[in-house]
Amino acid sequence: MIPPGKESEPDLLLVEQFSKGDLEAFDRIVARHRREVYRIARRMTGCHEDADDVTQDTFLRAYRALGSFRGESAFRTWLIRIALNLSMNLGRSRSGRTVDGIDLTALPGVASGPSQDSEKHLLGAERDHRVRVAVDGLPPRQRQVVVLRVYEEMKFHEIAELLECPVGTAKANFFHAVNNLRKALA
Amino acid sequence: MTCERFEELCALALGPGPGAPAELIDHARACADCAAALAVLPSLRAAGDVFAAPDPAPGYWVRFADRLDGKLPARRDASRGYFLPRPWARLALAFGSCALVALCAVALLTGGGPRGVLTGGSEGAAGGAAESDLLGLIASSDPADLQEALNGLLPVEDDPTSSDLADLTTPIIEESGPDPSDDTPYDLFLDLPRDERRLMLEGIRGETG
Repeated sequence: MIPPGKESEPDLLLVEQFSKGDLEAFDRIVARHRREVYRIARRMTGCHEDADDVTQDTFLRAYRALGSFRGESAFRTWLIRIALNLSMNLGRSRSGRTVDGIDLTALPGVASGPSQDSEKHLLGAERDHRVRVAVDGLPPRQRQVVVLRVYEEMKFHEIAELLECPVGTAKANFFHAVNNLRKALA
Repeated sequence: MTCERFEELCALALGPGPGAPAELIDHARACADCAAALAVLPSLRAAGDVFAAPDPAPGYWVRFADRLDGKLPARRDASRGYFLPRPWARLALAFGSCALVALCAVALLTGGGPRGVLTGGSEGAAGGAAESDLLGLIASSDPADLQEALNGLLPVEDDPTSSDLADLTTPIIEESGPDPSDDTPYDLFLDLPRDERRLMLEGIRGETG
C-alpha cells in the first residue's frame, strides 16, 4: 500500500531512497506500477498464472538491478520493458499453453444445445480465438507491437521507446504483423 | 515496405475519432498494402476480449506483496540482522575472508606466525621471548651477553638432581604402608630423615658441580 502523501514522489526519488537503504521505497514503487505491469503481462501471456509469474519476476529483477538503474529512460518504461521481455521468454518456454477466455465448452448455451444466440456467440468466440492464436504465432517483436498498439492503445513513439528501437522500425513491425495476420486469418 | 500513410489509417481504424477524410479513403482504395492491412484491423479490434486484462481477484495484491517480500534477498538478510545492499560490500567481505585464510595458511606452512599462537604452547612463547632477547643482544654487540643468550636458547635436558630436589621440598605423604618388594635404593633414600636427605643431596651436588 502506498503510504498517504507519498503518491506524488517521482520514481527517481524513490529509486534514490531505495539505493540509500530505504526498503519501504521499493514497496511504494511496487504499489505504483504493479497494476500496469500485470495488465501488460496478462495481455502478452493470455492467462493469470503466467501474468502473475511475470509480474513477480519483473519486480524481483527490478529489485536486483535497481542499483544499476541510471535513469536514462523513464523508470516506468524500464519496468515495462522488463515485463515485456519476461513475457516473451515465458512464451518461448511454454509451448502449447492455454489462453484465457476460449474454453468453448464453458460458453453459455453450449451444454444445453445450440440456439441462434449461442451459435452467434460461439462463432464470435471462435473468431476471437483464431485471432489470439494468430497473434501468438507472430514473431515476438511483431506480437509486442500489435498488443501494445491495438490493445494498450500506445502511440508508435511510445512503443519505440519501450522496445528501444526507432519509430520507423516499430511502424514497420506493425505493418508486417498486420500482413502476417491477414494471411493467417484468411 | 510500410506505406507512409499507413500510420494515419491505423490511427483512424483503431481510434475513436471521426471518420477518415475523403482523400485518405481514396488512398486506402488505391493502395493495395493499406487496403489489405486495414481489412485485418477490425478483426483485431473485435477480438479485444481475448486480450483483455481484468483486475485480479480481491486480496490478490496482498498475497502478491507477501510472496514478493519473501523472495527479495535483502529482506531476508535484513530479517537475519544484517543488510548488505551493495554488491561491492559482499565482494569486499569475500575478498577479506580469502585474504585472512591465505595469511593463516602461509603462516602455518612457513612457521612464521607468532610463536605460542600458531606454533603452539608455552614452549613456543618462551622461544619467542628468547628470540627477541637475542635480537636485542645482537643489536648491542656484546659478545659475552650474546653467548649467554645463545646458551639460553639451547634445549634444556632433564636434570634428575634438580627434579629430586624439587621432590624433597614437597611434603611426603604415605597413604599406604611400604611394600618390601619395592625396597630400591631410592626407597631407602626416601626412608631417611629429611635433614639427612638434604645433606646427602648437597654432597652429591658438591662432587658433580
